[in-house]
Amino acid sequence: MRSSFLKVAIAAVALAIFPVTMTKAQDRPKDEHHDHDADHHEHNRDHAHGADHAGHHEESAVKDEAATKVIIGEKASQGEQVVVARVNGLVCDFCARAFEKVFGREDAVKTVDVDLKAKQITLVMKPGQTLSDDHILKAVKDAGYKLMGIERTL
Amino acid sequence: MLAYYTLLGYVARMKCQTTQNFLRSAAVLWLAAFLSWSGAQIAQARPVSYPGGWTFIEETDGFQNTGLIHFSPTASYSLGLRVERRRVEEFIYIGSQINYLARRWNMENAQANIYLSAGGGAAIGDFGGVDTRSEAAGFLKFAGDWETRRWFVSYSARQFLVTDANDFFTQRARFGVAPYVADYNALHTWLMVDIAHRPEAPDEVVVTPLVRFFKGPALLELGFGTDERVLANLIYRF
Repeated sequence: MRSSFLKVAIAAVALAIFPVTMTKAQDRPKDEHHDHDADHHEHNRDHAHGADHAGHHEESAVKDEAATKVIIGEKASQGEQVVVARVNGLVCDFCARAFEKVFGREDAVKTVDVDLKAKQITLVMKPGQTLSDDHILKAVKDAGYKLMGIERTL
Repeated sequence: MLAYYTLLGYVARMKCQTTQNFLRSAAVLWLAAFLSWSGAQIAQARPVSYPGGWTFIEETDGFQNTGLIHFSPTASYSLGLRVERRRVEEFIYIGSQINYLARRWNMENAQANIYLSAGGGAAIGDFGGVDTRSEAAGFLKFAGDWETRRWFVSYSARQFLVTDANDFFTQRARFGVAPYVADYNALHTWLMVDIAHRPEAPDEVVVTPLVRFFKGPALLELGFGTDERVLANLIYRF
């Protein structure tokens, strides 16, 4: 029995190590790309806040400002508003899947992008359309999560 | 809330055949109440999805083979159909299942949940005897989990109740670590240890090291336990 466990343990470690190498290789150029974009993109921003923790949002907004700029720079086209919602409890792919589905159903939303690392959801709206802060707050709350702040372009 | 759990405790007492089982059930239910009130953080695989979401769950280990499909009208509860083959007890349970998210803590880098589940249906089999028969059956379950993108801890306890047959109790704890942290839609790999305790089973305690692969809407777990049986769990969230 002990030898069986040893085999399982060795297989588990081998399986775990292989994706580590892949992930690190994939992440590196992305981070470099973020730095580049943060230096070169400027956008008009209108800050809106979730019902609770507005103060916390202000601090986080400064901290993650560069990352948010990158996302907006990558996703936005002319006339399309980009909304970035910062959410607490966003820890796994099932959480991300939930927000893809919840916001993907909205007629006003063109694309949904969930970033687990930054704990934020980026919504690119269809031209001339938007979602109100209250609507986003309710959608996040109804999905079982906590909205910490909203930022938007235009 | 406390009154609710007290009521559940009395229901469990009516069904339990021994004082020992009752004390165990009551302890589990009161633990649920205590944790809900105290804000402690523990858990398991999430049995409630996003509003309008469907989930398919398959679980295989030394005790059981289970298929469960559930629908979540809201993020607070889900309703499902469960088919469970009990290896030791030698019956198949077919019935409904309701899962309720009693409490969730959403933190910046972590999430914790407490779930309560209940099921009702029929147990069909020979129950270790000769003749096949059908009995009314059901269960009460408590589950809690705490996870970050790196660490995972969960605990669950279930009291299964069958008329005119032996009731049984199962509790499980699980610890996991992700060797690397991946982005959404990348392959997540977790190394976990699952500890299952079944007082009435031949292997009372089964320890199962396992690997969890998690990618987008799909989660697969593969392990091999001290009972020398394979653990294979699959969850797909539609």
